Amino acid sequence: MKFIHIADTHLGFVPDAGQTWNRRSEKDLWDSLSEVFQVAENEKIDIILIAGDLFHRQPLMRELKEFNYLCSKLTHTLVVFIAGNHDYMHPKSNYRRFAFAKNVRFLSANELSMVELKEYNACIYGFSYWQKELKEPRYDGIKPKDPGKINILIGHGGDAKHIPFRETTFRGSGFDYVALGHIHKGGQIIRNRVVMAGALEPTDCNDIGPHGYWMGEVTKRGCEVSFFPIRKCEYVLHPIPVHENMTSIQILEQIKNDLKTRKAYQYYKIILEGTYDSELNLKAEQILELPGIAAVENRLLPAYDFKRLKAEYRNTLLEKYINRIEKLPQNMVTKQAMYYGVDALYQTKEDTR
Amino acid sequence: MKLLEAYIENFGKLHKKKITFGEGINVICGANEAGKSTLQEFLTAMLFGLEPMRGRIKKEDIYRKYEPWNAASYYCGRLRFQVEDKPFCLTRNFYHKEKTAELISETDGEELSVAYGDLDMLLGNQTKEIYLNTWCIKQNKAATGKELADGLTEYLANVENTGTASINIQTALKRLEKQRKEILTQKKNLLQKKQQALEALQVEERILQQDIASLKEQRSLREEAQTEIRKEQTKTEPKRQRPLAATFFAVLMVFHLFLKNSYPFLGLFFMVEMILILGTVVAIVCFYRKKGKVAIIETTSDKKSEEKEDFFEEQIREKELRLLNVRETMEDAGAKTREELETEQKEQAILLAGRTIQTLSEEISQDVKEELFFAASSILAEITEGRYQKLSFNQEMEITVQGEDRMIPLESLSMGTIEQVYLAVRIAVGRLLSEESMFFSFDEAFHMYDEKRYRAVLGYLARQPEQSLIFSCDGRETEVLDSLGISYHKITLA
Repeated sequence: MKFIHIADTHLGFVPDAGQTWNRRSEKDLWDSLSEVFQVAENEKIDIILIAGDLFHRQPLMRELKEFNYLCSKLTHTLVVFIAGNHDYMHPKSNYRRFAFAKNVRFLSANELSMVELKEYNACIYGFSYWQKELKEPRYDGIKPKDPGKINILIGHGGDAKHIPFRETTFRGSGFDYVALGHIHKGGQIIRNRVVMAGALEPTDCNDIGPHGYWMGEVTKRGCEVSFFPIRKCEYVLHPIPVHENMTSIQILEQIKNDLKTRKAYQYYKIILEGTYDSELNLKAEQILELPGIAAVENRLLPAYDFKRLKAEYRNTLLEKYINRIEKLPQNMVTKQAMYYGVDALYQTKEDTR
Repeated sequence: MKLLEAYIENFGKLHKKKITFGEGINVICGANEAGKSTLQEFLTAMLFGLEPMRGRIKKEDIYRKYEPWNAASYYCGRLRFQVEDKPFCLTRNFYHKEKTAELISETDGEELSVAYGDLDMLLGNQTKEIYLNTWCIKQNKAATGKELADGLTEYLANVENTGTASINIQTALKRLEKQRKEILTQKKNLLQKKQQALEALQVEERILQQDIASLKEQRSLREEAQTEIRKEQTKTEPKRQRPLAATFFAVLMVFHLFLKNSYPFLGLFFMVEMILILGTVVAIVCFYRKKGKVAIIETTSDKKSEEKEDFFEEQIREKELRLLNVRETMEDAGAKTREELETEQKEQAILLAGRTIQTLSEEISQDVKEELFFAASSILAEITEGRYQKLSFNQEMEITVQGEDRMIPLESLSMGTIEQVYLAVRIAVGRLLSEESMFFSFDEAFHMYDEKRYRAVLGYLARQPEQSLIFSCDGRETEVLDSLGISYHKITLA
């Protein structure tokens, strides 16, 4: 049985407007879904599995009608989906009243339910979210009724507040394929067997890396699935190593140079790492102006060799300060406090010299 | 440093005066108004420069005070001194229009620069303020022991705020404060953005609420209208039937009469009966048809109003769903973003740094205080010839002196003793705050001392490595020094 597995399409979500060269809109998400459906039509896919969060919020009637229309155009594909924590089955949800097209199967119940596909000798199991959070590990111990059939489980979750599970939850569960959703970063949890689809498109610049859909074939003998990226908007983490002797112009040039290898659909998230000269005057705005930059994160730390400073300024406030902060439990706040304090004291010393 | 020689061209009442200094104790004698204070001022002016003061402080303007009435341009002098066994020669012209300062190292003739701080360096970065408040000791003007004791406490408080160390701390703290303000601005901007987004959503929420309210109102109005119409219909139904039935019977009677005349006999009754039956049947049928028509009219209009109601329900439902979505988006928008958290962390880090520096500075100042009191104690012990061995401060930062069996608060002691404590402290502070030692200068400082104390203090000074200048107007010093067998250098200002 040939299938496509997607999740977290978040239809109805308005992505961050972004910069002028990267105007994303609500329509982009719908277009990507259409693209996937087109692939299903072309490749003669038997079934599309949507593992939750199809919509970003409670779907409006017109939105359901659009989705239903897309499904109805498929000539030989079945669409099976569940509701996730975003489009959960609210008492007033339109999901409850909408009459979907003939080729759509919505596993809307709160308890595990199953839809049988006789022509493929397959059973698809799954259940929907009826509230925003589900803290119980509801996928633990789920097993298919008839091991002779091709058994697929559609699920949505994977963090503490939304059906926690681990790799071991599905190992040996008896399902030939487990189609998961919720975590926006997709990947194969158990190779060719348990896959977290990941969001179809990144929702904001924190969704790093390629996004797209999974396509494959499942039989009783085994399953094979691969990832197909959608190349419309991909956020790339791009670290820039900085050392003390670099000037701000130098850093900007480095970034501009790196941008030359950027592909049109990629948007860089620049991470400045390393140590800098305390005189460095590099503003994030200068980097954000460049086309292709989505965000800038400054993780630079001033170039202080604390050991050397302690020796050089023995018996002064500076040495005492370093010692005092070193004694505190080390976390983000104390680490930064070390830099702020040393910077303040050292600069003053340098000024009065 | 040690003074070697001074040459005063013109300074106050001193003109073309040459003075040679010696090691150890120098007694500078002269009658009142002979120029002793002038000499002190001259030395200070040579070492630290002299600026005419502007503005309101004219009274304390040293420059003008000592400016020669004639030959203003000869407002100058020379000072030869020694630092670490190396002699230097400093020449200054105080005349503000021709202000010059020359510093020459006598060992190799090298010309140094006063403007670039070479003199300051030689003096160990001593400041005029510190010098005047420590090495220069004048007569205490306090009238009572308490005044004096309080003065000393205040003096010590000021000491804590002097010195490069504390200046550094203040500058460092200021820098941190500036950075903290920048972070706060960032925080404010982030919050503002969030607020704007939230406001937009709130507007949407309000509009939806209004729409829903108005739709509900329209729906209820419709419902009311519907019930009104139905009431009207049931009332008018029976009324309609009656006139129709009446006209039918009237027509029937006319036919009956006609036929009665046209066909006299045969089947007359039959005819009549038939017509009557026909008539009633027709009337009944009409009656029901009317009712049916009305019923049809009713059901179609009912259906229409039901359709309209469904439309309202649909609208209301959709809007309520959208309202739900907007509210959920608002909830999400209220959550703390990563940027906000990072900014908060930075703020906390800066506060931690500031607090730590503050605490450390207090600890250091505590250490300095202890060091100071230790030094002052040993000086006190010497100048009181062992009577008071220890000086310390209690919890409330009050100065206490160790007596035989307890610590005595300073103000309880006699003026003379308090003066001794004062002296011990000033000497200790001077040494503590100076990188390079200076010379002591006592201007009528021992005026109130009794014989015993006087002998003790002079004996102490004689044993010190630092040079001392004692300005006096009577012969007491020389007498006592002679009797103690202490060698000294005598300078007379005629």
